Amino acid sequence: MKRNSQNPTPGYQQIGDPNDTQTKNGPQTLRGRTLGTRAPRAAPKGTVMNRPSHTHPRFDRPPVVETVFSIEFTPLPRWEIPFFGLYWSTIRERYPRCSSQAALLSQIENLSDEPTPQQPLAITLSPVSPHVRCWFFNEQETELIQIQRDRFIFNWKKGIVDQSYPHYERIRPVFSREWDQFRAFVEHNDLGKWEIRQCEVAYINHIELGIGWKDYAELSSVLAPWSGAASGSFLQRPEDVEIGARYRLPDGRGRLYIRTQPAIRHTDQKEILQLTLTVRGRPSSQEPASVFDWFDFAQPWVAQSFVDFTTEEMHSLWGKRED
Amino acid sequence: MNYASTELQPDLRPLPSAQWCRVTNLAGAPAWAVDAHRAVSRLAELRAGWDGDDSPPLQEAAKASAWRIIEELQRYDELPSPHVGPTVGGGLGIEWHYGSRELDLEILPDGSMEYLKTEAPADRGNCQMEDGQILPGAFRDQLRKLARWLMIGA
Repeated sequence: MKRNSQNPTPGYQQIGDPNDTQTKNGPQTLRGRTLGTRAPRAAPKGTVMNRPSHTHPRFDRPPVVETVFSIEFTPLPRWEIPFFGLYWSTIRERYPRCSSQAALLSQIENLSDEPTPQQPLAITLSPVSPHVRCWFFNEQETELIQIQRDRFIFNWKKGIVDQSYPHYERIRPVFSREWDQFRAFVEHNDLGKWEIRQCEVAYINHIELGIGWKDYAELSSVLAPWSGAASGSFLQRPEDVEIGARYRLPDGRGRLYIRTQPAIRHTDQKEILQLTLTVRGRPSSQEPASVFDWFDFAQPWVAQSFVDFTTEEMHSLWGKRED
Repeated sequence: MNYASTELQPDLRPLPSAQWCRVTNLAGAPAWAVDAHRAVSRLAELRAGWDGDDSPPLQEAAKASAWRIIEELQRYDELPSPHVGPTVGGGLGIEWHYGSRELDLEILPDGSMEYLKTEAPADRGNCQMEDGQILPGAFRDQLRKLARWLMIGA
């Protein structure tokens, strides 16, 4: 990936600026443009998060091993199996390897305060198999494009040789280029009308057992919200711990999920704590720029939430600095 | 305990995910598999000469095979926790006891695998034993048959 020195941190420096009265009191601005003019929403139930700090924490050795940027749209009406191959032929030079996977299920966030209406059970008989997802990835196994009838996903993964995390500002232009090319492919092949339903960004971190903590009795050294304390002395050391938390983003723009799971990593069979931060939400419009406005909005939430959710002791181990 | 379920065990692979890095979620794994994973991890920390002689440490190929076995058998919740121990030369053994039956899997330093089935008859007569190799091409089938034999004797 090439470094984009023209646009080091697209957009999000402006978010949460305490001196920005528009951000606090009026329509939100990203890159100086006004996003929407809808009527103010009623305060949603539950706690809404603060806006991320305008400072930009970075780590010399961050535990992030993978980032996932996903765009979900209405199923392409005329997408059929041969289009997987046809699309691959347009990107094969960069992504020469492929694999077939089961399709992902749709998981659309309900961000209104209304209860989700129960969907009637439906069985669809379609000549297009909805259950296929194709992976196209590069030789170094650091970049992956996942395609299915209603999804475009771009993954960056830590490589075996190049283990450094390239940061969002280097991943974004590659993701943007591939998404633009996919959109052009859909339009060129007249695959039918489609509408973006949801965007998602996820950061997956692997926190190795034995580095900064030796077992789950020491989890409070890793995760800031976890104290490990008990009201009495009955409970002894936990064998392992799984945590899930979710937070609403302001203005109904999405929801953040934080999940930790004890896991074994397949590449080296090491025991890790997998910490995944995911934000899902809907762009403000169907305009192409809105999609990346949403990602530029959501990504700092993931970054800042990671900092908040983990301890300063671990930050030191990961080489935290403020840019 | 429902023995018949071992015959009809559904494929309990997790729902598909957009994640590319593959991991096994220990929170969703049976307790015996978590114990076994951790036992193998501890063995991987043994240094050369751990036997008081000149045995090398656990070899990567053997560790990877052990992990594949545990991963494959994870679908059988009812298996007891195995005993996992190092073998001289850089391999390891995984041993299950279930009633009168015992299943020993020996993983050689190069990652190849052998099994030994032992069954003590109820009349205290001679043990019945059978050994063999686990072939790479039949890995999954053989392991499932061995697990089934351990649990129901057939």
